[in-house]
Order: sequence, then structure tokens, then C-alpha cells
Amino acid sequence: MYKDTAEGIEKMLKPEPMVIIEQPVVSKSPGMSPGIQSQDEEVYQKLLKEYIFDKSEKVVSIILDPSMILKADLALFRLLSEKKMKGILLCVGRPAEFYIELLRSKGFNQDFLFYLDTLTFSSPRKQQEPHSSNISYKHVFYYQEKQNMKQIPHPSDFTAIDVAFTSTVEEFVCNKSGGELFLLIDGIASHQLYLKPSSLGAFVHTLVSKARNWNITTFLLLTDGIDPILISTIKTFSDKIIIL
Amino acid sequence: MIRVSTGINGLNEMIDGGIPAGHSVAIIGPPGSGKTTFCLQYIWDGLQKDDHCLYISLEEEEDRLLQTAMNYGWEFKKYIDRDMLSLIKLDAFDITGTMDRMLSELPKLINKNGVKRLVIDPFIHIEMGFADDHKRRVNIYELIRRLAKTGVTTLITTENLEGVHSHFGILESIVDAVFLLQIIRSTERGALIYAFQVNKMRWSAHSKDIKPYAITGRGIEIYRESNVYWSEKE
Repeated sequence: MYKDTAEGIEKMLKPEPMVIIEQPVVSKSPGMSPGIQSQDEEVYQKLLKEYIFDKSEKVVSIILDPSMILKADLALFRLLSEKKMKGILLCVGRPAEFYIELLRSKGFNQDFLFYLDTLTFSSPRKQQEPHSSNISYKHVFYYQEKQNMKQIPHPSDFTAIDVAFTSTVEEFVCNKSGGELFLLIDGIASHQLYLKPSSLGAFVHTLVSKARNWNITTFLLLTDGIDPILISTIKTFSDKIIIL
Repeated sequence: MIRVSTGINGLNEMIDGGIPAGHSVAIIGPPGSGKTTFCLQYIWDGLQKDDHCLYISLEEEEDRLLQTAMNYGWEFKKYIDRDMLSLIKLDAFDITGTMDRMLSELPKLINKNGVKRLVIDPFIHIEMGFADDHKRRVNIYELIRRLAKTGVTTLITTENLEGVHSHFGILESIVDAVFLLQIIRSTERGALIYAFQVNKMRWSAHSKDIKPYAITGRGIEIYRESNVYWSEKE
């Protein structure tokens, strides 16, 4: 049963009582955000226990129920930001603005995250967010660029995703931002709508292999609904498999 | 071996560092794939390296070419004024006269001016002008042979509508190298992907991959670190 229905998402995005988002976070745990709920804490603790940062583990597959995706996302964001890692979120399941709002509502500093958004280019939201109202877009043939994201025309534009990912990593490297880098792919299940499993497997394999060559740790969220053969294939090139 | 830089971002690394000096390259692609931009960029790169350049146009007028180049920030006019670049418009409809001039006068002009880089764009008009394949092949062969003797490094553009072969399928068997520019409808919704491939390159260990490219504000860029994907559902 999916819990991330429209109602569920609305509830999640609604500021919770007693949480003052703009105030500095005071916490015993570094990076601990006031908005993290107890069940989120549970997922976070489980990830913390399961995933010991081993530099040889560059492809990490997390197998989970679809209802756990957002909790796993949040737990990963927290874990990775605490580790001072910077990374790229490939948004296929949900648009970047969704994550920006979510992380803002949870009190995250979002400087550590760059978005490759496949869902907003052709159906942009009303420009009402303060952070995006004065931003001009830079069109770069396969994507358009603003601030901390690249917008790719469509989730089925795999070539554009590859070009945008590559150029983003090159920018990270050129800027010598330091620290470990990660790639999180949020929607392999959604990508199945556009590519047959064998081709999708080839795409994911190529992307994570490229990330591995650049010393980037890739996190893949694998849920029910993904072709079982595709999941098996991904497991074969994963260095670490975590079952949530 | 001296290799000539193409000026195209990402390409030199795919072709062993550049085009062997004195070789001829066919640039094959459909309308809108960036053939002329490719050639202008090659010329601009040469001008930055103080190479004398010659651009023979069989279609675009000189002022249009200058304007196209300016759109990328390539100011050709000052190089024309300094006799570093010649733009020559030939009559594409007088095939006999044009071919005669190219066979007899072009090598002399190249030698006289010390031209290092030559472009003939688009060659399809010449190819179409011959009555049969034999005459077409003999004439093209003779032109390429005479150009090779001068030592000039030449780009020749021609068209294809689909597939990997040029319209007449002759030029690519005569020249030393073939660069293919393709426009692919790669997704279910018909989005276009521009794909580049080196189909042939004598004396070079060249890439065999098909790579995405783009026509950007800085000219052609080939993303050799990325791949072309076709979106296909069962």
C-alpha cells in the first residue's frame, strides 16, 4: 500500500507544530534536523547501522517498500550531509521542487545537493517560490540550467540525462568542491515507463560505472514494481545491498 | 605525422589528436545537423593558429556566412582584410564551369596563397550535376587527388537524408575520413538527439562510438564522455 499519496505528501509538507524552520538547529547530533520524525529516525538509524562508509563500496542498492522511499531519501540526505558529502539527485519519481520544499520543511541546509530534474522542464510550476522568481534560465541544448539544478526535457531523454550528469560532475571537479561525491537516483521504477528493463539496466549500469570511475558513490532505491530481472542485474554490480 | 586540430570540442580526442595534414574529410549529415557550423568552426580554429584558409561556398552568400560565423563570435571579416581567409562563392548551377575551375584553378590558388585549410560546402550540388555515377566518381576522385597533392587539409560537406551513407554514396569511398552527423528521433515523444560518429579515418586509431553533440552558442560540442540512448518500450 502506497502511503505517498497526494494526501500523504500534503501532510508531510505541512509545517509541523512546534518546529520553527528558520531558527538555527540546536541538536546533540550533528546535522540532526528538528523536523525529522520518529519513524524517520528509525530508518536513519537502520541506514546508519547498515551502511558503514567504505570507500570501496561505490554502488549501494537499497531495497525497500515503495512507501518507504521518502523516508529513505530523508535518512540518506541526513546521513550524507552529516558526512559532508556533496551530491547529485536525479529526480525521476518526483520533481526537484518537491524535494526542495521537503528539505526546507525539515530544516536542511541544501547546499550539499544539486538536482537533475527530469519532470519540470516541460511542465513548469507557477513561478511563485522566492528562490526561483528572479532566476533566469540558461538553455544549454540538452537541458536548461538555473542555480542548483539542471532541468532535462523529459524522463525519457536518457542521452540528455547522461550529458547533464557528466557536465555536472565536471563542474564539481573543476570547482574543486572537495569531499566525497554521491549520486542518488530516486526513480528507477518510474524510468521503467520509458525504457524496457534490459535497456534501462544498460543505462543504469553505464551511469553508475561512470560515477564509479569518478569516485562517486551511487545510491539506488529499488522497490517492488521494478522488473525482478532488472533488480537482480543491478544487484550483480552493487557493492553493498541494504534491505530496509 | 602532423595532425590538424578540428577546433571542435571533444573531437580531437576521438581521432588521435586531429586530422592528418593533407587529408580530406567528408562531413555527412541531413539539413540542420550543423555541417556549415562545423566547417566555420574548423576555419576559425585555423585562423587562430595563423593558418591561411579558403572557404568555397556553393550555396550560402558571403555575407550570410559571415553573419552565421558572427553569431558564434567568430569575426571572419578582419581575417579577410588581412588576406588570411578567402571566401569564394561558386555557381552551383554551372556544374561544368565550376568543376573545371575547381580542378584547374583551385590547386593553383591553394599553392599560391599557402592555404592550409580548405572547406567546400555543400558538395551535393557538384555531385548532383553529373549525368551518371561513373562521371561523378571519376571527377570527384580527380578533385580529391589534386587537392591531396597540394597538402591542404580539406572538409567537404554533403547530405544524407537517413542512414549512414551520403546521397550518392561515392564521396565517402574516395576521401580519407568520414564524419557523420545524425539527427535521431530517440524518444517515444519524438525528441531529437544529435549524434556524431567517425565512420572512417585513414592512418588514425579513431573512436568507433556514437556520441551526442550539440550546436551551442560556442559552435559544435561533442560530448565524448556521454552516450546516445534510444528510448524504446517493448
